[in-house]
Amino acid sequence: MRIFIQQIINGLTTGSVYALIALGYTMVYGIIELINFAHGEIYMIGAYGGLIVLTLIGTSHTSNIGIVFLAMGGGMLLSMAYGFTVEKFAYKPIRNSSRLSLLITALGASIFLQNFVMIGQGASDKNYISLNVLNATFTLYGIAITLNQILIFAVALVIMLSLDLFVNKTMTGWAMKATSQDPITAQLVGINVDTIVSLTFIIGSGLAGIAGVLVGFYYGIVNFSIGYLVGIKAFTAAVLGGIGDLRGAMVGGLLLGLLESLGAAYLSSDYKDAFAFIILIAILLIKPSGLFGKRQA
Amino acid sequence: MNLRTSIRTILKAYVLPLAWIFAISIPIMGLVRSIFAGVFVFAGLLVFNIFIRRKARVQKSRSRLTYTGLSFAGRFAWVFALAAAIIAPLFLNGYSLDVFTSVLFYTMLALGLNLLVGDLGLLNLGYIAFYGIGAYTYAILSAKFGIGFWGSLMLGGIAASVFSLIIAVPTLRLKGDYLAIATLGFGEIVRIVLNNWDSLTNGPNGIMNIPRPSLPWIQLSTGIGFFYLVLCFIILQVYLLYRIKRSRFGRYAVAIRENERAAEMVGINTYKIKTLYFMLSAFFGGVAGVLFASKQMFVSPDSFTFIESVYVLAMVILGGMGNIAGVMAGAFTLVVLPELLREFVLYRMLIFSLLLITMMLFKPEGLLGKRT
Repeated sequence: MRIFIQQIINGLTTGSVYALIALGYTMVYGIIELINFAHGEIYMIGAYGGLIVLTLIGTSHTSNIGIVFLAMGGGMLLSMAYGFTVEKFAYKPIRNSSRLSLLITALGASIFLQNFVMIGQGASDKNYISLNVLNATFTLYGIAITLNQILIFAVALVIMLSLDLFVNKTMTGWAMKATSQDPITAQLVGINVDTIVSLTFIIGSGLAGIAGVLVGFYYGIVNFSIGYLVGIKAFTAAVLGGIGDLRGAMVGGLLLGLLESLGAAYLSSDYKDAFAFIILIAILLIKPSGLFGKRQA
Repeated sequence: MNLRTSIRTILKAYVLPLAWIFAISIPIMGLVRSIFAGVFVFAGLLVFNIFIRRKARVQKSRSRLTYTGLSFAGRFAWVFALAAAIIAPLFLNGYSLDVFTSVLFYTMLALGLNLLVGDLGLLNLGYIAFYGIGAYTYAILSAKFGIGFWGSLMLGGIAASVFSLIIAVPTLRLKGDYLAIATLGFGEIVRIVLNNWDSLTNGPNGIMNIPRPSLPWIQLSTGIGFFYLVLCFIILQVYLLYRIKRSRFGRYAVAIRENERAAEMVGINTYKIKTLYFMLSAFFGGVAGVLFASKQMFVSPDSFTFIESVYVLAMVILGGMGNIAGVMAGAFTLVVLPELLREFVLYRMLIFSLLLITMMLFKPEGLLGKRT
């Protein structure tokens, strides 16, 4: 039982990260029907952005929790900038070509960003500064939970709630929803679709960037290649919840995190990375529209 | 146009992108490389605006459904390429021969993948898994059951086809995007299983001492002998592919690619055709895998990573989707070019990805176009 609860806590932690990244996938897919392969790389760039901020600050303030938020801000801004740029330079010129071209462009963008970072930052792992505050551990009935885990969960929760409010309560959010339902009609009623698409990429990338920094603190290591696997898993989470559906992505992310950590504990830890793919194929087989999605496939 | 507007235009079209790229590159790349990145974008925009935007780009891919036979130049090119492939190995040193043998392997793969991507317009991002399944089938059969090369050849292909069904049955009914991502997942699952099923695949260490093929009277164990063996397989494969292309099924496939709903309306069982093509494509991958294993005499999961799938896909795209000769040219280019650019090894993948993106932007149908 203790192991079970411990695994649930770990699963919710990674699940929150998947959910944050899955939101970006699902938003972009909802609006331009593109599987943004480069999204995992945007997450990786966010992790590097946080690292750069930490390096600038130096090691003198490791007990100050404000640093965490500074790093998160840095990662978010860098990711936003890259997400915006990828959309402007790679996707926008071919938005109206075939789906195949779009997918391949996204693939190209992903490989490009990976190698771009590898050339700039080197191929070896880089370490995050370990902050004493974050390593504080609370133990309850033998179940350990670190402040870091609480932080990840809390940040993800706050972000998801505010995103939900933003999309459902503001004019801009409505414009986003309208564009995702029907871009042409949205344009007719005076929505600037290009701006909305850019905004979608910027918001999604920002969330991925924050996730990157949070994971950087959690595992302590970043590398240019971390984006690929996490990206695919987050995409699985988005499909699991029903792609195009924001709340679905949130639930899908948490669910995937839980399934993965329970699977690793009770089935096989060697095949931990395979679970996401098996779930992906299973969900496509059983209910391709996802848990909450409308019938579309 | 007065001076002020032209200055504004230049600012907006060139200076702004340059400055932006420069600014966002600095945190990742540092100052010097960021200047290069900015200049590169500037040059790219210049080329784009001067040479490409000026011409009105009205490109409609006209695909003919009828097979018109080869032109004289086409025939000549085939004969020339074949002659070159037969004569060239006699004058090559061991290293170059290795490079050219790997051209042949990638050609087989690219031709197999082209069946799916080119003829049907379906994306498979885990194609290398079938290559891996073929290679491991031979490795395991020879190590555990003592089955030789010729016996394993068909079995490798069949194993790949059977596994392809696992992925084809659930996903071929869905939209293309889902297929792409599901095949990617499948490729990863195969690699993870190969990596972890120690009792069968010997895990990350791989399987060693795989026998080379043998034939009476003919020496196949040398580099040259093996080269010719693979060449024979490619000739056979190209012949088969042309037969398929000219058959009813080939035309069904093109009809599905051009308009799936219309194809369904005229009574084509699109799901069946797609599944058939998927299996066939996997079969070619599996056979190539058996050949690969016997060339290397060693298999390990490292040879079958995602990026290899992307490489094969890029060969199909570069040469021209659906065009057999084009795909072969694409495979040749993408294997030989990196060998020639060895000094730029750090920038190789960067150039490769830019090539993919620009290709999609300007000539999505590939260098030699889409021909049926």
